[in-house]
Amino acid sequence: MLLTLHARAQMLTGLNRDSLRRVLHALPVDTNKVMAFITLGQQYENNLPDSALYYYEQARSLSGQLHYPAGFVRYVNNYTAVLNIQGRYNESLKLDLQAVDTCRRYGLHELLVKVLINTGVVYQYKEDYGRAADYYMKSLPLLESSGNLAMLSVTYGNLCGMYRNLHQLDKGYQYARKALLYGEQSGNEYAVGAACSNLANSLQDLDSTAAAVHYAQRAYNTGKQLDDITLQESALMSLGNSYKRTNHYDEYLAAFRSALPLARMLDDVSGQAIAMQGITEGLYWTRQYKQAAISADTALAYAKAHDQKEVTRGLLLLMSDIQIALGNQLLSKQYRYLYDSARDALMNDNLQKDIQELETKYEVEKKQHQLLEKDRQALHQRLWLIAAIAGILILCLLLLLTYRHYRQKQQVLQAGQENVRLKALLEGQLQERQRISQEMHDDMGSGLTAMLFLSRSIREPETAAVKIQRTAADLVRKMNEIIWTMNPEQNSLDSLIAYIRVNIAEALENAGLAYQFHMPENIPAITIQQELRRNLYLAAKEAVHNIIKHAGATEVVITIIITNNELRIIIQDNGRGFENTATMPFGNGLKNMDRRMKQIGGSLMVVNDEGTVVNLTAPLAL
Amino acid sequence: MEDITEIREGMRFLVNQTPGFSCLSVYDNAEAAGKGLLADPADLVIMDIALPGATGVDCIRQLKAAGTKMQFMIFTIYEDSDQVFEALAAGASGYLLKDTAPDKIIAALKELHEGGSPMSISIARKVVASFHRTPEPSPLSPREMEVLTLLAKGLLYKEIAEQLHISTGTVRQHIHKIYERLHVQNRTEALNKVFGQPRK
Repeated sequence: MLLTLHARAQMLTGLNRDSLRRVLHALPVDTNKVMAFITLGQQYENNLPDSALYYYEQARSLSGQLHYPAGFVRYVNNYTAVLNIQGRYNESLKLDLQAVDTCRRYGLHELLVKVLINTGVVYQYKEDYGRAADYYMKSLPLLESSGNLAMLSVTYGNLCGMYRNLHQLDKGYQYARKALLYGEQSGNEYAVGAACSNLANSLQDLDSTAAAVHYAQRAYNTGKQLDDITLQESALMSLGNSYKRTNHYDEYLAAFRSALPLARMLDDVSGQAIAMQGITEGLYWTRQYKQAAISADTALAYAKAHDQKEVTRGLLLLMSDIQIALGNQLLSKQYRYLYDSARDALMNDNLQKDIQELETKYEVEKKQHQLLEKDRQALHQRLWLIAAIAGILILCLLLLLTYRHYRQKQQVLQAGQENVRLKALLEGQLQERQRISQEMHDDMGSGLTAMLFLSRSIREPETAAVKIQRTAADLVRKMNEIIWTMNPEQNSLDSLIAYIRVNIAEALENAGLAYQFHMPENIPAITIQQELRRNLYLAAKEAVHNIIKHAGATEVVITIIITNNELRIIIQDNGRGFENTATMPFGNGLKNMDRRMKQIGGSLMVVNDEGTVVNLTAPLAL
Repeated sequence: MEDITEIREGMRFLVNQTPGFSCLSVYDNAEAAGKGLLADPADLVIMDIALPGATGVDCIRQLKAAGTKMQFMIFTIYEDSDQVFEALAAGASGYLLKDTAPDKIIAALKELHEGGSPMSISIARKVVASFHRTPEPSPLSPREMEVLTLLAKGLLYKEIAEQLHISTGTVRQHIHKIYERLHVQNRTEALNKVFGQPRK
């Protein structure tokens, strides 16, 4: 059994309810009216809790309209007191925690102390003594600094209860002593009464039963004096427990019989259950077993209905004993089994359920958090990826465009440059040729001619002069040939053939040889490269020169044939021919011809056929 | 007219040595020749083309424009040059190669005086091309055209003469005529350039 006190503004004004209601109607709609509602509610709390709840609700509603946080906190403090009495702890706890927030948000320090204590009280009712003690402890420094000794006393009393429940009995006793000390210092009888009640319980724990009875009696008397039913109730229960320890079962029974109507009056569920249990136990100890069994049934029904686990458990064990006393072994065993189950359930199932719930909740939250985190990360990564890809694509596009632009520009530039270069090259070549031709003509030519004329005028020695004359003439002729090959106007196949013909004819004519030409009917209008022109002409001339010099021929037949891809010049004489190439009298000249023909991708073929046949073949690009 | 002293004097000596020929004057530049020949004309002028200052071609053109009846023989080292063709078109009747042997030089001078002209294959081709350039009907006679075409194909005068059953002298006379027509044609072109196209 424990005693708890609810911290709230005790407005023992002595105003009666009717006069308060009249005042309330006259009040303007402001914060004072909120306080008035609360005060009125407090007047109904002890005997008409629903009316009390009604007025408290009015206070809340009005606080909401007025945006009056202190009004809301006061409503919570009073409303939860009623909820707690009715065993509606979860609703009570929710409101208390809201009130803690509100106080902290709006800096309502004075109210925060009460809210902290009330939160501790609810945890206490929920049998979560650790948390309850935590909240009480939080309120202590605030209470000490405020100098509210009565409240400090009450809080120490509550802490005493917590440590008793946590089986730290010495600590509980010390807190009970502190509670009585502060209570007596405060001069608040209510606090003194509550402190006496707690001290009585602590003394009982320490087996100081006589002292316990003394303080319990004092608490009961104080309660009677103050007309405080709660105090009377808890004092009676404390007394009962002390009587039980001293085996005064009649007094024990009487104490709980007195306590039950008080608990009913207070709508105190836990108190009623405990009182019923006490009555049942008293009947058992006074050997009134049948009545005890009936009482136990009623008590069990009530305890189960109101979820009073500890009491239910105690009653099941008691019922088992009662049934033994009544001789019902089987029923006894069943109750014993139920007791064990309830204990296990209490010890394990509920605990494990809570743990599991918590764990599940934690796991779910963790998973949700992980999922959210993963989603967030995935989204993040996706965004980054998309951004990166987009970036890379844009970069690539830009590079491509730039490159293409650059390439096009470069190509145009290059094409232009190439054109200019080629033109320049061609022009340069042409100019160079013309320059060389001109210089040969103007300078070398005139010089050679001068040489010629001079050598003619030399009489002595004649042979040298003739040699000089001949050499000069030869040089002039060769120069003419070079100039011819370099002349771009003479680059047609037609021109080449004509030039070869006229020069061969002239040479043979001058040498006094008979000759015959077989010329092609049609000569295609194509241009011949300078290289080919020069080499083919010189090779043909060489062949004719060889005939004139070495063949001993009297007649030469020259045949020129043009096929699809080659030009053939066949020069045939009726001379002595040759035995083999090694002993050819004009070997050196032949080598020259061969080299010239190979240089232009053509060929030279020399055969004996009643004289010599020289076959020159040059490729043509038709 | 020749700018190189040795050649100029060699030629003067050669001409003066030859019976029936005499060198009236020598010039070493085109400007002096233009003035001197106008005042003191000759039957035949041997003229170098490449000269410092005005060229032999300019000189021929100038004297022909003045209405001279003088015959011009180009004295060149190179028979295929554009300048030779230009000179022929300007009014020269033949050309003489500088490496020609002295006796052949005299023969060529006699031949020219008698109305014959030499023509190399390159010149022949240029002449053909020149007559093809104009849209006018060819000013050449069929025989002249035959001679020109055979020349352009690389046949010698002797061969042309054989093929056409004429003498080589006749071939040379045809060539002389061809030069005259070339000259006329070129003068017509020049006039056309001044007065526009003739009415038909």
